[in-house]
Amino acid sequence: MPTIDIQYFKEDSFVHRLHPFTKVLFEIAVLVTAAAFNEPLFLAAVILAIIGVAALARIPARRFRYMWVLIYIVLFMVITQGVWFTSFGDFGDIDVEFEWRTLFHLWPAWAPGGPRIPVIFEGANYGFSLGLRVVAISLAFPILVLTTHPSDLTRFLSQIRIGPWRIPYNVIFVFTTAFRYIPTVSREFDQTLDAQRARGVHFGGFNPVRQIKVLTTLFVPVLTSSLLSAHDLTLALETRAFGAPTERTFIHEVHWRKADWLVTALLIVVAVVCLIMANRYGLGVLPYTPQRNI
Amino acid sequence: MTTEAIISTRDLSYSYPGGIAALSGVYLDILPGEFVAIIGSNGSGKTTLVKQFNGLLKPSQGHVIVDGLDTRTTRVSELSRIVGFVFQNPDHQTFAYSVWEEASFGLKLQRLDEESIERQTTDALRAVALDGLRDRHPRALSRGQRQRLATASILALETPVLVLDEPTTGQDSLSRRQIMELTVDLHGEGRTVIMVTHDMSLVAEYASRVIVMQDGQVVCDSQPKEVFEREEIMKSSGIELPPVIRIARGLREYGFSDTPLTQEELVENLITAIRR
Amino acid sequence: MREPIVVVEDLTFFYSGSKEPALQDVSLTFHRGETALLVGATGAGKSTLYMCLNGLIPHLVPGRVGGRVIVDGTPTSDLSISELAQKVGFVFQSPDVQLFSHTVREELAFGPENLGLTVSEILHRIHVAAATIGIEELFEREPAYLSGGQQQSVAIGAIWAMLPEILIMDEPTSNLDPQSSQRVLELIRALNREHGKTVLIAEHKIDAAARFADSVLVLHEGRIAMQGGPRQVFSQAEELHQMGLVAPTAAEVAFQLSKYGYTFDSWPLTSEEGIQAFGELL
Repeated sequence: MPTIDIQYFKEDSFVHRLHPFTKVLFEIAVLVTAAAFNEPLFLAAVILAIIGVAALARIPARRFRYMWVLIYIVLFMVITQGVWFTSFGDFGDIDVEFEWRTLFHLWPAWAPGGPRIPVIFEGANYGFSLGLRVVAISLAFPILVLTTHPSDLTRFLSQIRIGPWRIPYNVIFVFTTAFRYIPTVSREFDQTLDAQRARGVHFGGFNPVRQIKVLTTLFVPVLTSSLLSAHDLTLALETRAFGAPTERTFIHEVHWRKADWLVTALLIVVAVVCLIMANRYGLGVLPYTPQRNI
Repeated sequence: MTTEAIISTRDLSYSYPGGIAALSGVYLDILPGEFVAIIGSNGSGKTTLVKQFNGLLKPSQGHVIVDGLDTRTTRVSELSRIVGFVFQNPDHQTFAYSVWEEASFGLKLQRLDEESIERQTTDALRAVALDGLRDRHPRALSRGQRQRLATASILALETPVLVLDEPTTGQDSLSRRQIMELTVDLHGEGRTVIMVTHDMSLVAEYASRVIVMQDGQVVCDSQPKEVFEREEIMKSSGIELPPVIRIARGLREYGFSDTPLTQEELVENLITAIRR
Repeated sequence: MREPIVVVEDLTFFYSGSKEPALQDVSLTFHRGETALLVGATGAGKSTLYMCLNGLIPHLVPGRVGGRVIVDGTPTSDLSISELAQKVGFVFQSPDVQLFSHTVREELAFGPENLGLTVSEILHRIHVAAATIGIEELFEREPAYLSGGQQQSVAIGAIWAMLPEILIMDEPTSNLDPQSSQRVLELIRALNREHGKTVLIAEHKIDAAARFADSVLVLHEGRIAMQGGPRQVFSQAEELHQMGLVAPTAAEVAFQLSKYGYTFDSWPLTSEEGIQAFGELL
């Protein structure tokens, strides 16, 4: 079963040592650059850079294994944009002078009847770039959580101040504690799987109705026991003075190092350069970018 | 005369993914009708061993033969008709909205006819004294009752072998006694019972054979009386003697020579010895 | 006589929506530095009693309360849960649930941090707690990946850092193997004997627990059925059996022998005492 594994893993890499804020800036820089370009080659370069950062953080490739589902998203984008690109896009002036190239027809020529549904190359290419944006963002976002110790994350989030406003500690607690329960829940899952298999439940198989029934036998016990432990957790928290009216102390500190200044500067420069390239000179932007799209 | 073993392991070794060896070179023959206790400290491999008996884990090396079937090539759902496995925590399996649904679920999976489902489920619920609560929601039961319901859902399968994983952990003395009385009845009906436990009083009182596991190997396989005599094994595998045996052992220096296994035996032996 | 630290007066509690009381007319006193063993079948009202002592009842759990609970001189109704958390520490049965931090260090610091103590005070407290419990070498480990026995020690350490006078333990060893159980029970005993904490412990492993209890309290269907020294309570095996409970093995054997007319000057509780007492008969 493919699982989304976005739990922090211990490693002493350059990326791990960066301040959480620097890593948040990295995510923002990815968002900005991925939004600036829509030429697949440029987006591929952005993705390569992200992979480079992941490699620098020594994140094992299996952590990204669940990303194979993105292939479907990319394919979906390619097909839908390929088919509907010209009918729904608003291209301003280029519409008349541009010659759309047909890649292939969804409905083959030898088959009888119906509209042949042409897939337009430009549309497919544009769809591909949209898919690559999703890939870039999906690859980049887990890097913060994967390389930042939850304690650092908690401390960082508790330090964020916008004027007098702060993120309430219980919100931060819920967010960072959720990660702590991943091994607990996965253990419960394994035990339930064993218990059900032991009484003859067969997981896998092709009858969808039966599979839904079979999955209920897994999810109901796991969810029920998670809810019950959540109840016990609230009681445990109360007995440890959670929510006491005093200002909370944090013994944990996160440090801003020289490397953080350098990386921050680099990220800002890269993001600004990319924005200028794309907006001023049209580099990395497809000539047939629709002004409005579906 | 030899009896055909219902479970036999041949040179059974098992490593968890990641390479941690949990069992190495285990040869065992479990005969029909035995009451086997498997003991050892946490991490000794006892749970890993019993999970091999119904195919939840498959050997890394060697073979496990259950009623003539090689577990490597047989589905767990097939093996579940021979080996019933009662887990420690009933909450890991309870999913249905009524006691009846929960208890009959395994039989429905086997696609038995209505009549057999009805009969086997009723029998199982009666055995655990839950037949009056068949429409009750499992969550509305007490912890002890839920444990008995989980047991019933396995009993309904009428398997010749029953594996009980820590059947009395966390139970009060009343539930503990009920569970063991039930187990003795089932054993009396001719089923093979395999029990994994830390509770040495249970072992002394009920088991006909004790298998001591240590570091993935069988270090002792004998009758309870003999196993509890092997002090060096008890010590090295971190097993505490049950109080009855500890008392009887201590009384040896007062000339007491019996080796009782249960409280009743100890009392009887003491009275005989005092009167003598 | 030592000074009373917990006084419960005519306590009755109904969970909201329930017509049956979970506790009825419970009156008892725990003295400073005492270890009290709480015995009762599942559903006898043990958990309800704990929640009354640490203030979850009446502050958090809805229901109808009669009578009162006085902890260290103040009624629990006059204290907030976080104030009570510094007087009454609570260790849960399941070790995994009560540990929610990412390192043992933070687990120990969690309570004091919530109280808003200074950083140096917190660091001091967690080091003392870790040294007392013997878990210094686990400081940087993740609680979720410790063994059950280690988890239970960390849970006790986390409570210890709150400096409570009273420790309540709800079947702290029921999910542990015999060796870990032994260690945890010895730890609890040391906290009581060497640090003078008042301990209230519920435990099914009666043979192990009986040997260090100063007093025993038997709950049955929400009422106090028996109360007294361990020898006094466990010599009444007949009454215990009627409630579905048992006495330690040595006491049970002594009870059976007493039916044949044998008497004991001091009722045996532990195996050693049993050997001594039965040896004298031989």
